[in-house]
Amino acid sequence: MKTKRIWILLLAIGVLVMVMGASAEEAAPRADEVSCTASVTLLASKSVTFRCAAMFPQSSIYVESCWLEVWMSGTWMRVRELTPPSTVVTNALLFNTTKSYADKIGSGTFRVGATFNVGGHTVTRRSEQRSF
Amino acid sequence: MTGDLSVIQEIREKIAKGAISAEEAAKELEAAVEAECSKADANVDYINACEDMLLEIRNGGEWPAFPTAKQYTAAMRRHIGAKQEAKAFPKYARRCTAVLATMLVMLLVWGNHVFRWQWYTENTTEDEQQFVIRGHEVVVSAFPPSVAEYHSDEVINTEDWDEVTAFLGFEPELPQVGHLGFEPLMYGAATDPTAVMLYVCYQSQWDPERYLTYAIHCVTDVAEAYFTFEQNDHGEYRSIGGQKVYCAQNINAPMFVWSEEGREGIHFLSGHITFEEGRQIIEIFSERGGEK
Repeated sequence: MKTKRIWILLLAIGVLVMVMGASAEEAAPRADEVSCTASVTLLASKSVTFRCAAMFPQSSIYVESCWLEVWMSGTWMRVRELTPPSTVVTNALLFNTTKSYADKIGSGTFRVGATFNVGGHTVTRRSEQRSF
Repeated sequence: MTGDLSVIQEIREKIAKGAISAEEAAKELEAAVEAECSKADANVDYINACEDMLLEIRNGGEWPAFPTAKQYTAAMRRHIGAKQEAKAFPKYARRCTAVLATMLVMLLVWGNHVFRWQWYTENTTEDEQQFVIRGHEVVVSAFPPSVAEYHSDEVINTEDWDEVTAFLGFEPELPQVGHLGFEPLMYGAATDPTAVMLYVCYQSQWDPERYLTYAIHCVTDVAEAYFTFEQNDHGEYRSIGGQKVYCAQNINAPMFVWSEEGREGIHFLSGHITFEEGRQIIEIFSERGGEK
């Protein structure tokens, strides 16, 4: 009887873990249903190219927020908020702009993160790291 | 006349009996030579006898063998040869300098064209959410091309094809999708420091909720080129119309990425079509070179 209870308990835990796993998968959606390209590129000149292309025309596309991360003690740390580019494209398919942050980026290994607003839908992407 | 040759004989006997070591005998002989040399009437024969014995001790009891005339001549020739080789080095160095100078001139004059290596890498991001094409470039030149070839940062979104061609400065070829009921809805074109790109959104005439996107990216700065394409997870390469095409899914839409020879153009196709329809579009595009 006791063994049976243990087996039921283990089975319940197993089911719980599977359900939680499935939920986590849903909570972290892959791909993007609105944009087909969303990228942030940190250039050697310390300028950043923000590029976002929607799958179909959007009422507006712009960069909602933008920040700088530095590689420190084996981890990425968000060190400062950057002023996002002021460009807003309306009734648009493609957003592409470059903004210089040379005065905000010093020496070290950095990457830039940005959240695009694509017709009300947001998508966050980070650049590849770059050392200066 | 000073210097008693019997002293040398005594030392020799001591060594033979083992009363003193070779080192001690050598020290005694050196002291004897030094003492004899300091005298005004030094006995040269005595000094020579001491030095002969020192030489014998230092050679392990054997009298050193002097080279024959033949050996001496051969050694001298080797010595002279080595000197001649050493003399030849500056001439070789001068030749090397001349070659390097020529290369430097070529580097400065044709460096941008000759000493340039470009390549691309393709990979899926760690979370498999994006397919990335990244350019790499090594230019052995005094002036980096990224500065010389800088393009201004502009973007247009329009429904007017003529406006697009005027913006781009050329008329790009587009894939044939009319047979699937798709018509161009909007164009997005942009130039930035790394590329000139065109995105075309097609809408289905049969179902307005179905869209198709075709894009071409013409790379202007390979070193900084960086293109990402959204995807569900890592796809696979397939051969379509003689092209090596990367195929994946973005949500429920098939996604295709391929590039031309030399990678001047990177093509992208994705939308509400089946994989088979996408394959046909790419095949026709590759064979016919596209249509407006």
